[in-house]
Amino acid sequence: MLLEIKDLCAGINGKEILKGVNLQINKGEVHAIMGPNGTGKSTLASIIAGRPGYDITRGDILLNGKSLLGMPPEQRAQEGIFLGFQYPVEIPGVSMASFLRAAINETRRYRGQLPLGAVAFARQMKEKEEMVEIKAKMKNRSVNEGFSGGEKKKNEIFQLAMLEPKVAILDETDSGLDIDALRIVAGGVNKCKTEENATVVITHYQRLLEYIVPNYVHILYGGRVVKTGGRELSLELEEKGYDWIKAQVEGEE
Amino acid sequence: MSAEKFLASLERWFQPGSEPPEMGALRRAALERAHALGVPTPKMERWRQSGVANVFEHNYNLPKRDRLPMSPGRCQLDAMATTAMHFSAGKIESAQPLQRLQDGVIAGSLRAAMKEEPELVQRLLAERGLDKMGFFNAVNMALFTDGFFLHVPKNVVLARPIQVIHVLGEYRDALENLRNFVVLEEGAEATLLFCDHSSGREYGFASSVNQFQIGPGAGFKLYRVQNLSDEAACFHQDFFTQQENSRLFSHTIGFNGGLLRGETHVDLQGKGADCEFVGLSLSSRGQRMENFVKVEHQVPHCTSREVFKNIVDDYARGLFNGHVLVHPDAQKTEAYQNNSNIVLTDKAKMSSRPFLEIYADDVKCSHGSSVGQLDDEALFYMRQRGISEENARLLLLYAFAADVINQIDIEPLRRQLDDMVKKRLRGELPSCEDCVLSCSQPEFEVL
Ligand SMILES: Nc1ncnc2c1ncn2[C@@H]1O[C@H](COP(=O)(O)OP(=O)(O)OP(=O)(O)O)[C@@H](O)[C@H]1O
Ligand SMILES: [Mg+2]
Repeated sequence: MLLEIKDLCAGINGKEILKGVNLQINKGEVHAIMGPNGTGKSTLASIIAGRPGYDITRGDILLNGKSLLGMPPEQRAQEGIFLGFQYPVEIPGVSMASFLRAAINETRRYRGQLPLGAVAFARQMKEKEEMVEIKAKMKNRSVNEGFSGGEKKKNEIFQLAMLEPKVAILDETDSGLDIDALRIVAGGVNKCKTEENATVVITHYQRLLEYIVPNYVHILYGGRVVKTGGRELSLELEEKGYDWIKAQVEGEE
Repeated sequence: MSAEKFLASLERWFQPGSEPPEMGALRRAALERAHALGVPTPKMERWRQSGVANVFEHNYNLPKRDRLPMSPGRCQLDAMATTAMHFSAGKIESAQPLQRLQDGVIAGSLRAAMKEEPELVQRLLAERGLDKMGFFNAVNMALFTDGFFLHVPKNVVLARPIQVIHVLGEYRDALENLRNFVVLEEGAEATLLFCDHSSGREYGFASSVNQFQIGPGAGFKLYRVQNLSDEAACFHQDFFTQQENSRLFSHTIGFNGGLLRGETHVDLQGKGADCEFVGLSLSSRGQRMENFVKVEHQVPHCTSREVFKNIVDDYARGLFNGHVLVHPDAQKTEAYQNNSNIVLTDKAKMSSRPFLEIYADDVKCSHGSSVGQLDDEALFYMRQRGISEENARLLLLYAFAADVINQIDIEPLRRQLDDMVKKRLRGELPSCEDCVLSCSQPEFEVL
């Protein structure tokens, strides 16, 4: 198993958000996580990536059998976790090129590889640009600074392509995209898919899942995965909303 | 040593020597002025929260030259093709203290200029009335041993920047007073680079008073690099007067020093004068870095801009005190003042006090100030991509400093200072004992 989340309970500022999340993700799979606003989807993604500030009260997160919980975020990234941010951050003054090069070379060093020189790095930029059909026109511009919402999301996918992680968790990468941009972003994600990695998409819309076809759809509600199904589950949600899920969960309790 | 003892000891140093009698009288009067003013205290507005009181805790020695100073060549920015002038232990180091450069330009030792151009210098020295002098200025007038003198005649454009290196002597409890004069006549242009360094690890106090007269239509650029040991205190006071349509650009980077205090006083006296001040102070450990800026808009249609930045680490302290005064006649003034700061620890402190005082009604003035930490969201974003926390912090700090560095329009100097800033941020830049100015360009991983 590539990524395993076991009975994860976590909160922030004394507020309990995740109440026993279980997920199992194998190589080559695409998982979708759906669920009403405020149920903890972004929290789950942040905790996997190691954002500081959360209290993990129970459970574990294993990547290839190795627990991530004790690792700082950079080490998790170097181990192969990528988080596409719901709200990518602007970093004035730090150029896209120096940012990505630092990211790639620190990761390479962690993996015992030699750093990429300037020429090899430029070549990789170009290759990936072509692969995901996203121009890093912003190479010499500051990271995300002054980018439109859609440009920021595309930039996340370009970074995904550059960093080649084992598990990509994409938090609402489709929000705020126009129809063409959605197709480009989804196409980019699909091109990054291999037999060796896995993709987790967090989304509210069936539409993205028409492009990125999931093997599994999970519904996160009340801090737990309350239902798992195939791609037909997302169609059912699209049709019926969440009320029936809520009723079902409350009925059980 | 106390403030009273400091004052009393001035008498001991006071030896007019072989100067013309008018000069002796001027020094004597300045000394009396210092006595009358008394030493500054932190209660005074200008000195609020300043670390300057520490300088009165030492028993000072006059400049001594019993050890060979740092070799001047080591500091020179070769690539800049500068004319270098080197001062140590309060005196110029040169076989030819006063040089006649192109087109009647005179540059070199003030002391030599007093001999060779007595009328010119005497007139300049007396120009700024004693009654306006503050304590350290008066002390400096009484005791200065030498200084840099530059006179650029009408419409002459100085072909090469002049680098003026001052190295605080390598002896205990040094007190060195230098007085620098720069006069740009109408339409003249010049670029100077002032480098302040110290060569030992003993305590010492370098005090300089710098008068810059910028004539009508003249253009002046002043770069300043300060890198002294944590034991040294360095206090410079710049007084600029600007005539109509003159331009001034002043750029300062403070790298190291126990106390670096810079004061800038600008008098915009002629219509259409424009001035810009850019400063970056990088303090750590127990260092204190202070900038005091006062810009006076006396006449209409002048513009002034100030951007000062501080990064304050460990238990260091930063201070910005900026005052823009717009007189009633100074309509159509444009004044901009900004101070932004990053404070890296709980023990580091930054005090920022921008202040606009406006008596004209048709003006565009704005000021801003911010004191903050590094952006946690940005840090997490970078770490999520695999960049270590340390390097993420470095990249953010460098980004903060970079727009100051990028305003240097002499490319070799920009490269060199860029390199020094990167080193400083990584904690690899010591004070100048190891002569960082001529260090080679190493390979960097992130910066
Ligand atoms: N720093 C915080 N302090 C307190 N509560 C928080 C904090 N961050 C998130 N929460 C709360 O945790 C819950 C889950 O938030 P989260 O952002 O994970 O939801 P989400 O499922 O991603 O929602 P959306 O679909 O709107 O993006 C919400 O009730 C939110 O208000
Ligand atoms: Mg969310």
